[in-house]
Amino acid sequence: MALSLLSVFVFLQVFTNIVFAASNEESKISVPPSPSYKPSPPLVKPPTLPTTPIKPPTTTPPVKSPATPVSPTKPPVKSYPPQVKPPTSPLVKPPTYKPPTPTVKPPTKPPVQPPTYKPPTPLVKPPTIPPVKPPTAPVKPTPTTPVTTPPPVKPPVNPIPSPPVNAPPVKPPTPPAKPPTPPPVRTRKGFELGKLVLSSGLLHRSWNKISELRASRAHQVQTPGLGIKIFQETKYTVVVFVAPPINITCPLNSASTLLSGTQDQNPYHFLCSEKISSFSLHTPAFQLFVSAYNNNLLHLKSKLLDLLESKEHVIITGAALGGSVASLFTLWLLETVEPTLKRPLCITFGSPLIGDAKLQQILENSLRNSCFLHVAYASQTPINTDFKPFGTFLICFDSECISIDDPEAVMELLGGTNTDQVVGLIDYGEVLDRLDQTVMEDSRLRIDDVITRMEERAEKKKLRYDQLKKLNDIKISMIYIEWYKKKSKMEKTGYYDRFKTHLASSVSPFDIDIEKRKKEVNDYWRSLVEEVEKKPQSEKSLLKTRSLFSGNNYRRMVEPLDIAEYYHNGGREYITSGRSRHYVMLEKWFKEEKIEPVRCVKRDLSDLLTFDSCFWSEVEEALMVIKSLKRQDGEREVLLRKLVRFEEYVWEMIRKREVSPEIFLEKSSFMKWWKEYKEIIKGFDSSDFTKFMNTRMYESYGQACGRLMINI
Amino acid sequence: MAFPILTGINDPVTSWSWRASTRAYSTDQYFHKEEEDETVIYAFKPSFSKKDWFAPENMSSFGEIKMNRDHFPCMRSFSKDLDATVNEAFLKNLEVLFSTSFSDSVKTVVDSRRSQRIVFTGHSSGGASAILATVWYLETYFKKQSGVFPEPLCLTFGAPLVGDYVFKHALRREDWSRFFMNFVTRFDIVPRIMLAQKASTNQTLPYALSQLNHTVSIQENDQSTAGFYATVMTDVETAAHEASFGNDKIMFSEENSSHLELSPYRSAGTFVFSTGTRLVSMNNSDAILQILFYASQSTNEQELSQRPYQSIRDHRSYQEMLDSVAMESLHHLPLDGVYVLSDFGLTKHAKKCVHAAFEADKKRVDNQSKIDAKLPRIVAKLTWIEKDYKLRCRTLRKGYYDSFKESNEEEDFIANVIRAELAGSFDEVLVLLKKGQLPDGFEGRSVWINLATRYRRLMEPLDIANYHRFSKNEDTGSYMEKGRPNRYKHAQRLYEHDLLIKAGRTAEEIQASSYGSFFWTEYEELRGKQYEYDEERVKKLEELLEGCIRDKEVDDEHIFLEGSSFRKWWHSLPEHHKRYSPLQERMNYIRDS
Repeated sequence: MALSLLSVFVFLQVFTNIVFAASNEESKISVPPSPSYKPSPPLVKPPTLPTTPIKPPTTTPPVKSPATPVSPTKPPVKSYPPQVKPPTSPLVKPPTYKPPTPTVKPPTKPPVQPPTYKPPTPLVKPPTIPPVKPPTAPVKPTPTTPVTTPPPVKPPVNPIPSPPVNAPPVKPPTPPAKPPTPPPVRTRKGFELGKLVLSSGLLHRSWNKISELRASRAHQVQTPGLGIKIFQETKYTVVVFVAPPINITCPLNSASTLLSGTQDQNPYHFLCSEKISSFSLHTPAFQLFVSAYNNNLLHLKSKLLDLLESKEHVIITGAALGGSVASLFTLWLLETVEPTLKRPLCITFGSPLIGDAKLQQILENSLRNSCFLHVAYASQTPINTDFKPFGTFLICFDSECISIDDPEAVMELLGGTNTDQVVGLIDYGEVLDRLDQTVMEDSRLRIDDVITRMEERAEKKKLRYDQLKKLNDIKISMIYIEWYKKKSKMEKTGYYDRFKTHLASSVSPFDIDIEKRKKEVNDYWRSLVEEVEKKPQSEKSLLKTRSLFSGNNYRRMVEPLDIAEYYHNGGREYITSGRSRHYVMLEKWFKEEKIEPVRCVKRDLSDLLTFDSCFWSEVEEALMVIKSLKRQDGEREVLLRKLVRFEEYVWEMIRKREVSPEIFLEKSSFMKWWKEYKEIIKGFDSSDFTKFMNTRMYESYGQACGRLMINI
Repeated sequence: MAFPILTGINDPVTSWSWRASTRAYSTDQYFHKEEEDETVIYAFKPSFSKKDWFAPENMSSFGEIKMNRDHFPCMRSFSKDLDATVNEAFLKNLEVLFSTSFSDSVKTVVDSRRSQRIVFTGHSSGGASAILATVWYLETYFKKQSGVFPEPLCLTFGAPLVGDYVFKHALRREDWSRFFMNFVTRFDIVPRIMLAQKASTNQTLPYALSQLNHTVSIQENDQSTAGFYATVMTDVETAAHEASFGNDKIMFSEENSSHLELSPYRSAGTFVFSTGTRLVSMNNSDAILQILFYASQSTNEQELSQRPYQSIRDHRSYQEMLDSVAMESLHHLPLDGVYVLSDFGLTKHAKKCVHAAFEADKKRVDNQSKIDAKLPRIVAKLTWIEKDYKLRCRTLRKGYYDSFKESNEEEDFIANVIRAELAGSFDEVLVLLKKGQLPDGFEGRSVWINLATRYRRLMEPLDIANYHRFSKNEDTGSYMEKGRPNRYKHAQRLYEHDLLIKAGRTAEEIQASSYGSFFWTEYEELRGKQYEYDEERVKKLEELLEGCIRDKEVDDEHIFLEGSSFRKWWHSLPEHHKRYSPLQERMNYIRDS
C-alpha cells in the first residue's frame, strides 16, 4: 500500500510539481492531509446493529473503567472482569514520551512544541451517535451533541480542503481563492527551470548540431525533403532532423490527419486507449515522418534503443518542421522504451504544434510527456488553434525565458503577435546567446495573470489526485463494510440480504453509514478506472498491477451490495443492463493478468469472498424464474432448463470452493431459492448438488480441514 | 543556529587550526599533530596533484563512490535505504592516512582521557581529509558512548565539497553536523570545483591545482585559469538552479529522464563565508550553493574579468581573512536576515533564491511540528491496543493475534480501524521523509525511534494476521517478501540503527530483532504444511522464539494462552517432536489468569 501510494506520488510529481510546487503556501503542510491528518475525528465509531446485539463474552456487569479510552457517555466496548482491569488510567496521564529534541535549531523559537496533553478524545464514540463523519472538523467530545459543537481548532487560513468523506471525488471542492497578484517566489520556479535548462548546455549542443546539418545542406540547390543525421559523441548521441521551411498560408500546411484504427493503419496505435481511440496530427509533419518511416527509421530506432539500454543520453532534435518530425519520431520510439530504461529527450526549436487536444490528453500525466522540451519564441511562434501543446515548453522572451508545462498557459503565452508566415527562419542560436548573457534581475514580464491561472489549474489537478491519497480512507471504509458483512453473518442473514432488507426499511445508523461508505468506495474506484482507461494501453498495466488486487477485492466485496440495490429497485437482468462499467473493467483486467493463486486445500473459507461478484444477480434471476414457473408464465421446459443451468453453475463453484459459505445462511436468498427449487424438482433430485444440499453437507462447507467434497 | 563549540572567528582554536594547517604543508607525513592543554589538533596535508582530487580509475562523472556501510554504518538514509556518496579520491586519501600512525595516535589520545577536544583541520584538500577523518572518528569512537569520548571539531579552510545530500542528511540526523565548520573566502574556487563535471575540467584541472599551491606565484591575466574558471562556474550555475528546486523533483533530475549531469555533492555542516569585511555563517546546503554561484557574479565587466584571478587568490588568503575580520562581524543566517549578503554583491533575485532555501527549511520544521502535534493521538491509539484490546483478548484466553484474525467481535473491528488509521499516519510520515520534507533530524530523535518501534512490535502482527486472513500469501506472495509494508521496514531499520548506536549489540543480535515479524509469517506458512516436509523449519522457528520473546518482539503472554492457535498448532505436531521441543515446558504450563 505504501508502495503504491509512493509510486503514485512519484508519478504525480513528474507532472505536477515541475512548476507548481512553489505555490504551496507557507502555512500549508506540503502533502495534503490523508485521513490521519484530520484534526481530531473520533478514533473509531463503532457501528451498532440494533437488531441482534452480540453478548459480551462474560456476564459480569459492565463496570465502567476510567482506563478505557471510551467516550464519556457510554462505553461501547464491553468491560471485562474488573479484576483484570488495572485501575491505572492510561489516557489520564500525559503521554510518556519526552518532548522531541529539535535537531534543526531555528533561530528564534524551538521548532517543536512539546506535545501537550489534551483531554482524552474518545477512542470509541457512543453507539447511539450515527457513525457519520462530520466532513469538516474536529469535534470535541461532549456528552450532548458532538456533531453540532463548533470546531475548537480553527482551520488554517488557506487549507487544502480535505475532500468531504461522502462527496464524489470527481467533484473536488473549489480551490482556495488566490490573491490577485502572486508573490514573486511562486513564479520563480518557472524562471529557475528556464535558467537551469539554459545553463545546462543541452540547448546549445542541440542547436549547434542543427546548424551544422543545415549548413551542409545549404549548398544543395534543390531543397531536399527530410534530412536525418546522427552525431555520436561521448555520452551524448544527438539525432537531428532537418526539414524545409513551410509557409503556413498554404492550407495544406495547417491541415491535420486523423489517425485511428489498428496497428497496421496507425503507427501510434499504442497510444490509443479504451476512451480515446483516435487523434489527429499535423499533416505535413506526419507525411514527412511516414516517408522516412518507410526508409530508414526502423534501423535508427533499434540503434537508439541499444544506446538507451546502455544508459547513454539520446537527444532527438530539430527546428521548425524538422522539430515536428523529431517529436513524431520520439513519440514512436517511446513505444518500445520500457519504464526502466533511460528515456530520450526531444528538443525542438520553434516547431509548430503537431497534435490535437486528444493527443494532449493522452500524453497528459504520462511519463512520456517529460521527454519533450519545446523551445519557442513567444512572439513569433505560429499557432494553429486546432493544435495543442504537450511536453515542457521553454518560452523565450527578449531577455528572459520561462519553462512551463501547463498546456493552457503555453497557449496563452504563445498566442503573441503572429506575423510570420514562414516557419523555420528564426536563429535560435542568437536567441540562446542573448538569454545567456542576460544577468537576470527581477522579471519584467507581465504574465502574472497567466501564472495565476496556471496555478489555479495545478491546484485543481492536485485535488483530483487527492483521491489517490484518499486510499487510506477507502481502506477504512472497506473495513466497515467487512464488519457489516460479519455482523450480518452472525444474524444468519448474510450481508447481501441484510442490505436488501435495510434498503426497504433502513433503521440503524450503521446501515445508513454503510450505504454512504459504499458510495464513497464506488466513487473512488469508478474514477480510478476512468483514469486508467484514458491511459495508453502500453502504460496501463503499470497502474493496473498496483491496484489490481485491491480492486478485485473491492469488486467481490461491494458489487453484491450494488446488485441488492438494483434488484431492490425493481431492476432486472443486472449483468446486461445494470452493471456499472467499472466492475466490468476491473474484472476484465484481473482476468487478463491470469493470476493463478496457489490455494491451500485445507483452508478455512469463512472470510472468502465469492469469486463471481455477480453471483447474487444469478440468484435473483433464478428466483424470478421460479416465480414465473409458479405463475405459469412462459414455457415450463425452458424455465426448468434455466434453473438446472443455475444449479450447475452453483455446483461448479461449490466444487471449486469459489463461493462463500455465507450463501448457505438460513435467511439468505440463495436458501430461499433452494427451498423453492427443492419443491419443484421433488422426485428428480439425484444430482450431486441436491445430495449435497439435502444431506446438509453444506453445513461443513468451507471449514478448515473438513472432508472435502472435491473428489465426489 | 548557535554554535556551542566555536564562538566565532576569534576563538583561539580557529587561528591555531589555521596555523597547524599551514604547518601541515611541510610535514613529510600525511598529518601533523599539535597538542596543548586539553586540545589536540590534527592537521592534514593538502595535495595539488590531480589524482588526489579525482581517483584515476573512477568512472563516475564526478568521481564519486558509495561509502561502505560496514565502515560507515551511520552514513546513510533510512527512508530511502541509500548509502552516502563521497568523492573516491578523498576517501582514498583517508585510507592512506590509516596506513600511517594516525589511527594509533587518535587511539592514544582517546585512551588517555586527558583531552577535552579533538580538532581535525586542513586547508584545501587537507580539509576534505579532515572532514572524512572526523566522520571516521564519530563512527569509530564518538557514537558509542556519548560523554566518554571527547567531542570532535572539524575546521576546514577552503575545502572542496566531499559528500552528497545523504552524507549531509546523515550528519544532521545524528546531530553531528554541528561539529563541522568550513571557512570559505568569497571567490575561492575550491569549494566550487566539485560541482563541475570531471570530464569538462579534465584538461585544465592539473594547471589550476598547481596554481592553488601557495608556494607558486600567480598572475592576474592567466588564460588557462580563466578557462578553468569559466568551465567550473557554468556547472556551478546549473547546480545552483537545480538546488533552488529544493526537494521538488523536476523533469531533468528524475532518474530516467535526466539528461543533465548534475553534481551529487552538497555542503555538509556550517559554512562561514567571508565577504572581506564580515563573516556570514549558514548551514542550509541549498542556500550555500546559491551563495557559491551568486557571490561570484557581477554586472560589471571589469569586475568579472578579475574573477578567475580572485578565485585562485582567495584560496590562498585565509591568513588575511583571519587577520582582517573581527569576531563582531560574524553573522548567522537566516537569523540576521539576508541583507547581510549585500557585501557579496547579491542581486535581489539571488537574495530571493537564498531566502527561498531558508523558507524550505522553515517549512520542514513546520511539517515536523504538525506531525508532532498528532503524536498524542497516535499514542492514544497504541495505548488502546496495548491496554484494552490486548487485555480483552487475554481474558478470552486467546492472543490478540488470533482474536484479530478471527475478527468476530466489535473490538476486533475497532482494532482493525485503528490499524488502518495508524498505517495512514506512518505512511504519511514516510512519504514526507522520502521527499525530504521533514528536518534531517526527524528520524534520529529517540522519541520517534521509540514510537516507531512500539508501533511495529504492536501492530505488525495485526497486519500479518490481516494478510493471512485474506490469504494474500496465496495470490500475492509471502508476507516478508511481497507484503511487508515499507513503514515497518523503515521502523526496523531505525531500531537496528539505534541498537547499533547504543553499542554492545552484535550483528547477529541485531539481525535477530527482525525475527518477530518473521515468526508470525513463518508460523502462518508452516500451519498449512505437513510436519514431515518442513521439520527443519519448525525446529528453527522454535529456536528463534526464545530470542524474540527476550527482545520483546513476540508477546509470550499471548502466544501461550490456552486458546492460542499457536499452542493448538504446536500440540498438533507429532509426539516425537514435542518431546524434544524447547517449547515443551512453556506449552505444558498454563498460566493462571
